[in-house]
Amino acid sequence: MNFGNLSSLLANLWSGLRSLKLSLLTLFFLAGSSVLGTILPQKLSIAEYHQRLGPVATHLIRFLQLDDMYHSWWFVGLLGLFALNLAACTVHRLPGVWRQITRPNLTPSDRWLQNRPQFCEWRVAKSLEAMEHRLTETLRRRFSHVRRDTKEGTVWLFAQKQPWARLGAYVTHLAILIILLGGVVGSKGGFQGYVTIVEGHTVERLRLNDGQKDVSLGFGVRCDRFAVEYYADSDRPKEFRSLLTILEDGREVPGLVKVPVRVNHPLRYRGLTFYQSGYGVDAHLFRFRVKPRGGDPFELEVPSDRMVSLPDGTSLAVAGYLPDFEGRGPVAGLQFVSPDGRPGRAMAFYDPDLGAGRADAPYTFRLLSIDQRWYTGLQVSRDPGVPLVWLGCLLLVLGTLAAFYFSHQCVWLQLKPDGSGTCLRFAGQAHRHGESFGKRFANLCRDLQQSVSEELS
Amino acid sequence: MTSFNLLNGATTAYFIAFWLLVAYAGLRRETLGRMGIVFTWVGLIVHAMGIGLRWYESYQLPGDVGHAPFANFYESVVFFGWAIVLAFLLLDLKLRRRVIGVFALPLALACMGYAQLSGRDAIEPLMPALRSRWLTYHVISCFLAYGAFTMSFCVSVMYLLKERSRNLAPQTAWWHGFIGLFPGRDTLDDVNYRAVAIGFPIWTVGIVTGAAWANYAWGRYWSWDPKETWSLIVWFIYAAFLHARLSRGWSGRATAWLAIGGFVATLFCYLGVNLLLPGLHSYGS
Ligand code: HEM
Repeated sequence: MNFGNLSSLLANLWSGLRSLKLSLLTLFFLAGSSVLGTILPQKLSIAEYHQRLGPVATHLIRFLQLDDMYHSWWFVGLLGLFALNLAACTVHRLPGVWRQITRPNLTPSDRWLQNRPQFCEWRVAKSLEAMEHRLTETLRRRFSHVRRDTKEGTVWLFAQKQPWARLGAYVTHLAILIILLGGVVGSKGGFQGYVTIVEGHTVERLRLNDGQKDVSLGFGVRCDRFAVEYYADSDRPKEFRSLLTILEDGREVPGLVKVPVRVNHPLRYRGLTFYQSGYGVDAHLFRFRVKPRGGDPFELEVPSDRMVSLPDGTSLAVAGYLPDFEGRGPVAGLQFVSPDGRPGRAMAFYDPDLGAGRADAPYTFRLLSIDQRWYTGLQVSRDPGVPLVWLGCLLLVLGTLAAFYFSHQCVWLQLKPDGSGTCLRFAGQAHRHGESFGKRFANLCRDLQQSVSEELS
Repeated sequence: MTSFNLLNGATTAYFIAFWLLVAYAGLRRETLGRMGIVFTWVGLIVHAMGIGLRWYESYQLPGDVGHAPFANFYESVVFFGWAIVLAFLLLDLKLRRRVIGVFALPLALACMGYAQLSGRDAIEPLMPALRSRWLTYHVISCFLAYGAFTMSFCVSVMYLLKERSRNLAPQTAWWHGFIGLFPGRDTLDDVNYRAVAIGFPIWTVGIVTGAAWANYAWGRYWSWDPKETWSLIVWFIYAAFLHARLSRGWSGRATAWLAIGGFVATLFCYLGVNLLLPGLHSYGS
C-alpha cells in the first residue's frame, strides 16, 4: 500500500467518524438496544435463561452477553463509538464556529450582505460623517457593543448578541463526553458494597457487590442505634434511621459521633458514602434451659457470637437459628465440644413438645427466649467519577438551554458614499428563532431610518 | 370544596371546551372557538387550584404526611393532564389556531379520566425513598417536557393529515374546511421542531435531577433501571430528531414520524414501564 492510499483511507475514516450519519445511526442503535435491555430480564443465571428461553436463545445471550447487556462488549463499544463520533465532530467543527464568534467578518461584501436572511437598503441625501454617530447610538441601544471598520471610504458597523449561544451545542457535546468519562472513572476506580451492622457493633470490612471479595474500609463504623419511624396511626414506615459513629484506630472521630443516616441523607467519610438501604433483626442473646444427663437443670445465656463454657468444661456456641419452626416457635442449632475434644451437635426447641435429642446425649437443651437487636443495612460506595458526572450534568443543562433557548444574532450596517449622499445596507442573521428575529430586525431598520431622517430635519 | 371536586370541575371544563372546539371545527364559527379556549383556560386554572389544594390538604392530614402532590400514579397523571393543557394554551397564545385543541384536549381528558377511573385518589404518606425535594424538581421537569412533546405529537399528526389530504383528490367539503383550519404545513413543521427544542432541555433537566436523586437515595446515579433506560431512549430519539432536522435538513414527513415515534416512547416511558416492566419506579401499584 502506498502513502497516498493510506492517507486517503485515513481521510475517509475521519470523515466517516465525524459524520452526522454515524451519530444518527449510533443514536438509533443505542435506543434500540436499550429497549432490548429493558425487555429481556437482566442478570439472571444462565440456567434460568435456559429454562425460560431454551438453548438457542441462551447461546445467543451468552455470546452477546445479553444477561448484562449494558456492560456487554458491544454495548460499551457502541458507547465508545458514540463518544469518538462526538469528539471527532466537535474537533472538526468547533474551530470554525469559534472563529465566527470571535472574529466575525467586519467588512463583508455587498453581495454577501444581500444574501443574509434579513436585509434592507436605502439611500439618504446626506454625508456619511453626519449620520454615523447617530446610527451607532441607535444600534448601541439594542446591542451593547458596536464595532467599526472602514475601507476605501466605506464604513461598516457590526454588532452581535448572545454569541455564546453558538457554543451551546459544543458545551452539550463536551458534557456528554465528561459524563461518559465520569462513568469510566467510577467503574475503574470505585466500587459498590453492602454491610450490615448490628446495633452496638463495629465493622471494618466491606463485602463488594460483584463477587465475594472483602475489602478493608481503613476505619471503623459503629451502629449505635437503628430505628424505624412510622406515620402516626399507620403501619407505613416514614423513615429508616441509623445512628452511625466513625472510629479511627478504635477512637471516635469528633463530629462523627451518632450521625443520623436516613434514606436520601447519606453519610460521607474518606471517599466512601454510606446509604441507608436495609434493616433487620438479629438474635444476639439466647437463653437456654440445660439439663445434664442425670443432673439438675440450670439456665444458661449464650451470646450469638461467642463460645460459652459449661461447668464440666464443655464449650458451647449457637451455630444458627430459625425465627420460626413450622409455626411452633423458634429453634436454635448448637455446636459443642466436650472436654475430651469430641465435637457434637444439638437442637434446642422453644416448644416443649418437640424432641430434645438422643437419650444418650450428655445434655438436652430447651430454648427459653431470644433477645433480638436491630441491624442496619448500608449500601456503601466509592465513586471518584461522581464529581465529573455532576460537572457534565451541569454543562449538559446549560449547554442545551444555550443551544435552544438563546440565539446568536448579528447585524451589519454598511455606509457607502454615493455621490452627494450615502447608500445604507443593513443585514442581519440569527442562528435560531429566525421569525422573531425578523420582526426585531424590521423594527431596528425602522429606528435606523428614523434616526437618520431626524438628523435631516 | 375538596381538591377532588376542583379536579372534576377542570375535567368538565375540558370536556365542554373539547366539544366547543369540535363544533368550531365543523361549523367554523369564531365564537365557538373563542369559547372553547375560554373554557380551556378556566379548566387550567381550576386544575392548578385543585393540585395546589391537594398539596395543602396533605399538610392538613394527621401524621405529618404533607408532600408535593406528585407522589403516586393518580397525582402524576393529573399533573400530566395539566402539563398538556398548559403546553396547548401557550401554543395557542403564539399561533391562535384553536383547532389544535381538537387533538390536544382528548389527550388531557384521557389523563383526567384515567386518574378518576384508577380510584386511587387518596393522599398517601410517602415511603422513605420518596421523601426528597429532588422528587418535586424531577417530576415537574419531566412532566413539563411531556407537555411539550405532546404538542409536537399533535402537530405532527396534523401535518401528516394535511399532507395526506393534499394528495387525496376527492374530499368532502367538511373535511376540506376542517383541514383548512390547520396552520400551514410549514408552520406545523416549525412548531414541531420548536416544541421538541423547548422540551429537550427540560427533559435533560428531568433526567439529571432523577440521577441526582438516585444518587442520594440508592447510592448510584445510574443503574439501568427500566425507567431510567426508557428516559434515555426518549432522550436519544429526540436528540436524533434535532440533529436530523438541524444539521441534516430532514423536515416534513420524516420529522413528523420521528416526533410520533418519540411520543410513543415517551408514553411507554411514563405508562408502559410502570405497567409492564418491573423496577424501582413502579408507583407501588
Ligand atoms: C445524545 C447525544 C447528543 C446530544 C444531546 C447533542 C446535543 C446537541 C445540541 C443541543 C445541539 C445544538 C443544535 C444545533 O445547533 O444544531 C447539537 C448540535 C450538533 N451536534 Fe449534537 N448532540 C448529541 C450527539 C451528537 C453527536 C454524536 C454528534 C457527532 C457527529 C453531534 C453533532 C452535532 C453537530 C454537527 C451539531 C451542529 C453544531 C452547529 O450548529 O454548529 N451531536 N447537538
